[in-house]
Amino acid sequence: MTILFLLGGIALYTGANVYGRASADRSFDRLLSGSALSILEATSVVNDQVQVDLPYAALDMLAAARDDRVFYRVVAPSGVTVTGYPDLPIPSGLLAKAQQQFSGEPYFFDMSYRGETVRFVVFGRQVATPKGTRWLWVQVGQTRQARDRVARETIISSLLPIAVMTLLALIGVWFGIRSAFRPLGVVARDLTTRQPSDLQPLTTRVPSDLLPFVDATNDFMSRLDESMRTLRTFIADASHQMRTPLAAMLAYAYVKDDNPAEMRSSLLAIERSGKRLSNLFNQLLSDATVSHRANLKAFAAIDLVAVIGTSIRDIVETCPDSDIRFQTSLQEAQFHGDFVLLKEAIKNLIHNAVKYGSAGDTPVIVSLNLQPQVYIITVLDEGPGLGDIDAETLFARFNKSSSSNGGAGIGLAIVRQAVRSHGGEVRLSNRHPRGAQAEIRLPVAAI
Amino acid sequence: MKRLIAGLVLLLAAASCSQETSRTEGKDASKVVVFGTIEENALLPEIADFENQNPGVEVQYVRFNGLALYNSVVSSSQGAAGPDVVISSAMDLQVKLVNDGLASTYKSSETESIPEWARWRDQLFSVTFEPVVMVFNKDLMRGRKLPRTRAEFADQIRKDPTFWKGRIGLYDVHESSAGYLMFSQDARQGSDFGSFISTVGSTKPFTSGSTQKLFARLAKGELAAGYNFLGTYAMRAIKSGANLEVVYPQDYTLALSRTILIPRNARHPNLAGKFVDHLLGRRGQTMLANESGLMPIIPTGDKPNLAIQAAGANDGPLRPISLGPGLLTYLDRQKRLKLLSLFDVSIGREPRLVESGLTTEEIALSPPREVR
Repeated sequence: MTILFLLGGIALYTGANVYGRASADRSFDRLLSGSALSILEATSVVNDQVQVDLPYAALDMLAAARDDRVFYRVVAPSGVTVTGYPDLPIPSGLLAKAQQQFSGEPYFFDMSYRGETVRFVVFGRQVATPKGTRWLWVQVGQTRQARDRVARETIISSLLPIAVMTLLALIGVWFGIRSAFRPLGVVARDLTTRQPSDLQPLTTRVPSDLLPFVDATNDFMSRLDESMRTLRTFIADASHQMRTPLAAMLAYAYVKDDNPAEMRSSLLAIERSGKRLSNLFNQLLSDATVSHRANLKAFAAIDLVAVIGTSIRDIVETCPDSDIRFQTSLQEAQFHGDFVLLKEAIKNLIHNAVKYGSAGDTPVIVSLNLQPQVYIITVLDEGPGLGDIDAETLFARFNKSSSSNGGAGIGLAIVRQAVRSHGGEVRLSNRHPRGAQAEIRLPVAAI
Repeated sequence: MKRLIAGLVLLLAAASCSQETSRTEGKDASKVVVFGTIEENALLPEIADFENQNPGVEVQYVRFNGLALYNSVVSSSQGAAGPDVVISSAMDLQVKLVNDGLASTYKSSETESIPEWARWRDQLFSVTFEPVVMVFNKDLMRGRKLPRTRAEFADQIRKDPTFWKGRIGLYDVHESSAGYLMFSQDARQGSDFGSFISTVGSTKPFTSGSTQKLFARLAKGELAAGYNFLGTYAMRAIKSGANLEVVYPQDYTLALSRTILIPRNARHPNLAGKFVDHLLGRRGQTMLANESGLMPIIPTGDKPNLAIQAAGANDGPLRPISLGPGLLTYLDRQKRLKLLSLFDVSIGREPRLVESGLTTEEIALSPPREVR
């Protein structure tokens, strides 16, 4: 940017310099050639002698450039200086031409003479001599002081407005940027002075250019607010869930009687509450793991058949009585995903089916199918089904319908989060005539 | 102050100076050599005052005629011993020295204080401003009307040629460079100057290069009129008892300046600058007016100089000769020859074909002459 500016400046200066010098030369050259012409007109050849009656005006007109020195000479066709300064310099090319002929036009050139650069003009005229027509010529020179001053003034007068305009433009840009960014400063001040809990939208008035920024910030804050609220609810619910079994355990622990039967039933109650707590903690831990891994998205090539197999094996280990059947036509189901996450999700679904659906001896059926571009995993039971409950509410954490059933109400939320992190979807529905169906759809292309 | 009477001796002394330089360096360092055309009596008070103001500084003044002065500066530029300061009434020759690059630039508050038309290139400065006048002997002119213009003067000559025969004094333009300058300016100004000068010339005028001789004859009554004399000299002659009358020609009155410059090869440019400042300063200018009888270029407090104000306006009958390249015109070899022969023919003299060479290539190192 700076370099561009500098180059532009140099180009501008060079241009102005050339222009200034040219225009100064144009006007002063006219004087110079006028002077030479008037000397030429006062030159005559009498008896083969070149005679010059130097007009006063010829040199005096050059005094328009007040402080410049003036030199002149008249050269006869023989090449001899008739009058003036005989040692004036002349380019050798022009001198050669002078022996031959001039075009009758003035020739201008700069040459050094007596320690200064001098602007010269050479002007020729044809005269008749006994040897035929020949050229005599006049050379007039003037030092460059006035020219250079005029050139300088031209340069300054042409560059000054540009420089001033540039400066004004720069100042304008500076102020423009400052005023354009001032609302940002206000926004920044607003944000820095806020309480951490204050997630109200920004109300600063900003130029329309900044509206998307403020809108995005406000949108982000409202989402942050939402998730904070969810988090608070979750903590409140989780503590509530924990408080009940803990209170029960404490109550049973304060048994006053030494009656062994009483004590035994109290211990059993404490064990029950302990199991419930342990279950709750496992689910919270699982939830935390799933949340973490869902964010991590540490996906790799996995086999869904193996995932389902492992899940069933895990369940059977904890509930040896359960009857779980796996149906699939696939030998292997290649999928890009997180083995642990999906295993956790499927385990949860199967666990629910076992827990709520197979009250009798009815089996839980797990199946895996590949439809175009999507794997479908279904978990079926023949239990009481969902009843009238809206399936959607079951996916919320600590939902009443599941916690009233003795569950912590986190399992389905975990499932949904795990599936969604794979770009899939999970649905619960009633089966006809009885039972419930859970369905996971995992798009193959989803990465 | 060392005063040498004969310029010839002086130039020889100055020339031998170059060999003595190394021996007399200490003494030499405080000596200002001034070459000038002003008669030394006129400049004496100035020089004494300068020496008083600068103890230890010695001024050596040598008087030359204008052409010799010019040639001495040209030869000093080629290595010969030369002056530190040049003051001359030959404005054209001074302009040529500056134009040919032989003067050095000098700027000070004193040089800036004189009007711009009175200096050129910060190298040449007018010290005085002196109208060019006609002077008449009142005894001889008794009963006759004094001519106020050149035309009236020519008329009177034509009406009574016998009275005027041999009674007009003119500067010999071959010998007096100031005379040549005034003559050339007349040739430039007056369209009918040719007829005027031939009328004057027809009286067989007395010509000389010496101001003293011309005024002596005029005062004694051997001459009735002097044409193109310096007004300041006339006033001085009147002061010392001559019965003269000064006429400022009403068709136009030329005004000439004595100009000062510091040669490029001056040995003591600093002292030279001081001397220039001294002459152009208020004190020096007042002294020029009161003690030297010259008209200063700067109006001094007690004598407002109306002529100079008129000169600034450059109109009316006062025609100051302005500094600038125009003055080179009449130094042109052919132009000069033509003018000199016009003068010779006008006064009925065989034109002298010997030219006092002025072009740079053919410097005529004519020996300095005592002009008195």
